[in-house]
Amino acid sequence: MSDTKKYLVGIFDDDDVLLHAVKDIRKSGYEITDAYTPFPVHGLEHALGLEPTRIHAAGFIFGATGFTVALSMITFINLFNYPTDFGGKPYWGLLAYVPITFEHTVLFSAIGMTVSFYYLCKLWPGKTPKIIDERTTDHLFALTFELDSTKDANYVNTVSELLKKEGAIEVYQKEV
Amino acid sequence: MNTYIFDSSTKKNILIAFGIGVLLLLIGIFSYNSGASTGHGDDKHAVHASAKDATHTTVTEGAEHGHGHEAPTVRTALIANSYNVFYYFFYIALGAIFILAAANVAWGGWQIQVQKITLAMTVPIVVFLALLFVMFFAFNHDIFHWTHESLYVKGSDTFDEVLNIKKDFLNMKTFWAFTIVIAISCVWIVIKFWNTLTKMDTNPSRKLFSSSRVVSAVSIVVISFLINTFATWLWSMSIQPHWYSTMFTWNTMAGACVAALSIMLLFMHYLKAKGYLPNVNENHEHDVAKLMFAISIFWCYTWFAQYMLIWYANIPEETEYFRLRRNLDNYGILFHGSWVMNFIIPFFVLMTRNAKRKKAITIFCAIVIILGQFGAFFLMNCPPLLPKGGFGLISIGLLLIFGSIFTYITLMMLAKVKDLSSTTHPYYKESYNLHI
Repeated sequence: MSDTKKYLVGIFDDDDVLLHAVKDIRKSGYEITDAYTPFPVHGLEHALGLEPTRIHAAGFIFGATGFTVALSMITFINLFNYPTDFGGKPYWGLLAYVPITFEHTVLFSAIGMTVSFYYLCKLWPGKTPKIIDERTTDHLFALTFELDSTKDANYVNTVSELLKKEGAIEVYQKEV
Repeated sequence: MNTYIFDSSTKKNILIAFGIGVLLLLIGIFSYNSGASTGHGDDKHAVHASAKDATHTTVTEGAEHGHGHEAPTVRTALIANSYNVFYYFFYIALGAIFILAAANVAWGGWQIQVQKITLAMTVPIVVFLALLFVMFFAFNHDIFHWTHESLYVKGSDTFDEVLNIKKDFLNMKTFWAFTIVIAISCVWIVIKFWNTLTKMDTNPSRKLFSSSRVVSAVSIVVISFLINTFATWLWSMSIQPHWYSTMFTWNTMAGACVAALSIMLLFMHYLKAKGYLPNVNENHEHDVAKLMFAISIFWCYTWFAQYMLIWYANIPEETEYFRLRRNLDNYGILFHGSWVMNFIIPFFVLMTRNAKRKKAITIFCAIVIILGQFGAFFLMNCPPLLPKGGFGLISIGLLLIFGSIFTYITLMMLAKVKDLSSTTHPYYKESYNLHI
């Protein structure tokens, strides 16, 4: 991976401490790039000020696609491609199509949402994931601050001190 | 403000609703003959005959319609509609028991602050059971076609072979045995719930907490295998005794649960507006609305499955049920309208997170669901008795009358609760901190 980015990382060992730290740091006006936790911390996405996910919209679009595909496919088959008389039922017996259409809607939206979730998390096959700190997959929590060209040494010092004051057990810089 | 006081302004409002109901009922009764439902020329003779010999004309046309009757008179309309309303409110109270039991047995912490509303809503079941018993005693021949002895006399004109086969189950002895067992178990569950949960307010203990869970678990089993199953079979499905469906029981219970949740949401908003339940916020409303949304979908699932299988199989014995309900000359509008009100509107309106958290939207959906489920229950019970259509002012008037009685009993019982938001319950804090 050529496009590495530099991060200032603060490691915490308690989710409550982390939650308070996030609230206080954001109150002081510093932008947190991301937080890494071994399990979902309740209220963290709220404290980080993340936008609500738009994956539901994707799910709706995938579902609508599945709905259209199923209904048009059955209509095409039963009306034009291979019309068959089932016990005197109308060729376009909409009621009988409801289960299949429903299942296609669910299938498309489920698979589509899973795939788009993996895509958004950059987890496609063969991808080496960028892990800030391996311990965040087990028992520690991390807050990261992206260090681009606009951030000077002063910024790094203030944020590091702020992190330590908030209870970080470790603060370091890392390039991933 | 932790004990509800049933103030006089609320009593006045309930009385006004009751009065409007009586008014609509009277208008409905007096305008009944000029209505479209008795405008058929050939019915006049039957009406005349039934007036002469009210008890025996019901069986004469039995072979033709499966539930053949004389043309519906005001008497029939009143009996059918009152029976339907009693059955509806009985089922709402049963749905409230089920919600309470399911939430308690699943360690549902979110609903602890509002569970006293559900608890109070279970108590009217006693009154509506009593009213149903009155109907069973006084009008069983009017409501249940299969109760006529002449159907089982071999060789006679009115002999009904299908019902003769079903007689082993569908007879008065079985009916009363199950009815009495159902009534006793309902009352037992309500008393047990009431005692356990109100004792927890004044004298909380671990033992009471675990016994509340035991009562919940037992009542879920009793409701699903005894009360709900046999109440729908004997009290509702047997009104049209030639027809049967395995989806019917599910559908009834889903409808009752969603209606009970809607009424509970209305009570929640009412109590909030009066200044009670200070720690109930939009998170709790969101949870109730989620359940309303989910159970509406489940209701539609069973409703559609029942309809589609019968449509697809196209067996006359089964399609008779929908022939009486779906066509535009009887109940077509109500049939499709209740589907729209019970599924389409809640589904599309309550779909987003924001909609579930807005007071006006959830109240709108709750009212739509209560009316829609009333229509659905009407379609379960009344069409065999009123085959030409008959949903009108009488139905709405009786709904208002007994709805205000239901509300009055619920609020009266709620006023007896010492601790409205269950602050002594072990899961109170979970409910207090609910955040979704």
